[in-house]
Amino acid sequence: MPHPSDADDAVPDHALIERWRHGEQRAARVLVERHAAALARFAASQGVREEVDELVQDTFVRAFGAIDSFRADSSFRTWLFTIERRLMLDRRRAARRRRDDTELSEGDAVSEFDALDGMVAQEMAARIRGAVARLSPMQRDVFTLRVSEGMSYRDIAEVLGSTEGAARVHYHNALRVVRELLND
Amino acid sequence: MTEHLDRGEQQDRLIDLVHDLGSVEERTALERAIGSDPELVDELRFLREARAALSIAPSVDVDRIVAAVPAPTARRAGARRARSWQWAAALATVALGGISLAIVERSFTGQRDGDLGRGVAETTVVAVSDAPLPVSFGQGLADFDDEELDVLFDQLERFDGLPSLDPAPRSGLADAVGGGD
Repeated sequence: MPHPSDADDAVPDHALIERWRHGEQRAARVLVERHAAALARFAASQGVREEVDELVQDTFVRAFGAIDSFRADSSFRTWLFTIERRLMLDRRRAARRRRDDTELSEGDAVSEFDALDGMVAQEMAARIRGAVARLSPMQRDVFTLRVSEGMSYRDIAEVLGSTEGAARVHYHNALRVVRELLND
Repeated sequence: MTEHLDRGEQQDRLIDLVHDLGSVEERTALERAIGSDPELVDELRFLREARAALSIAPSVDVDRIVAAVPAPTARRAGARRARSWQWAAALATVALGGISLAIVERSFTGQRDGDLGRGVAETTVVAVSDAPLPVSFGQGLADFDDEELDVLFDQLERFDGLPSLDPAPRSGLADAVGGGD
C-alpha cells in the first residue's frame, strides 16, 4: 500500500476528505496517520488499555462511514475526538451493564495507569498521570484535550457537547486539583 | 497585542506556548509578558511536564485501520443507489397521491354535477343509503360543451351494462341523458 508523501502531510484535512470522497483511498491513510496517535493518547488517558487499537479503528470507520454528516465548520480532528468519546462512553456503559458495576472508579483508573507506569521513565510523569487519573471523568476529558492535545475551549466544548465557559471552568478546576494532588 | 492581555488571559494562553500555537512573534511576546510572573512561569513548566507525561500512548496499527476504512467508491455507489431508491419512492408517492386526488376529485365532481350526479348517485350512493345527497357545489355540466357531453353520456351508457352497477339504472341514466332514447 502506498505511503503518503511529505507533500500530503501539508494538505489540510478538508482537502484530504474531498480527495477521499473522489475515490483516493490514500487520502484516508494520511488522515489516519495524522490523527491516530492523538486518539490513542486520549483513549489511554481515559483508562482504555487493551482495546485502544480497536477503539481508534472503530472511530475512523465510523467517521469515514458518516463523512457526509461531517460539518465543515468544525475541524476533522475535533469530530474524531467527539466520535471516539461517544464510543468510549458506550463501551463503558456496556461494560457496566455486563459487570453490574458502577462507573469506572478512580481506583480502576489509577490501577490502569499504574500498569503503564513501567513505560514512564520519570517519577514526576508517573505522578502526573496518577493525579490526572483521579480527576472526575469530565475534568479528565477537559484536562487531557487541553494539555495533551492543545485544543481550544471551543473545540473541547464541541467534543464534550458543552459550552466554552464550562470547558474553561473544568480546565482550571482540573489544573488546580492535579497540582494540589502533586503537592500532597 | 499579547502585552495587553490580563493575567487570566495570559494564563489561558500558556497552552499556546506548550503546543507552539500562534505566530512566533505572539509566542515571544507572551513569554516576555509572563516572564515577570513566577506563578505563570511555574505553571508553564508544569504544563510542559504534564503534556510529556500524557503523551505516552499505545501504538496503533495504521495499516489495519486503513484497511478497515470503507472504500470511497463503493460507499459512493451505495449512496447513489440509496439516493435512486429514495427518488423512486418519492416519485411513486407523488404519483399515487396525484392519482388518488384525481379519483376523489372525479368522484366529487360526479356527485355534484346536478343531473349527471343524479345518474351516478343512483348507481352508487343511493344504493347504499336513502340519505339526501349533499348540497351541490359547482357548475357541473355547464363546464362541458355539447361534443364533450355527448362523449361523456356515451361512456355513461356503457357503464350501464356493468354488472356491479346494474340493479336497474337505465331510467336514471336516461334521465341524465335527457329523457331517454
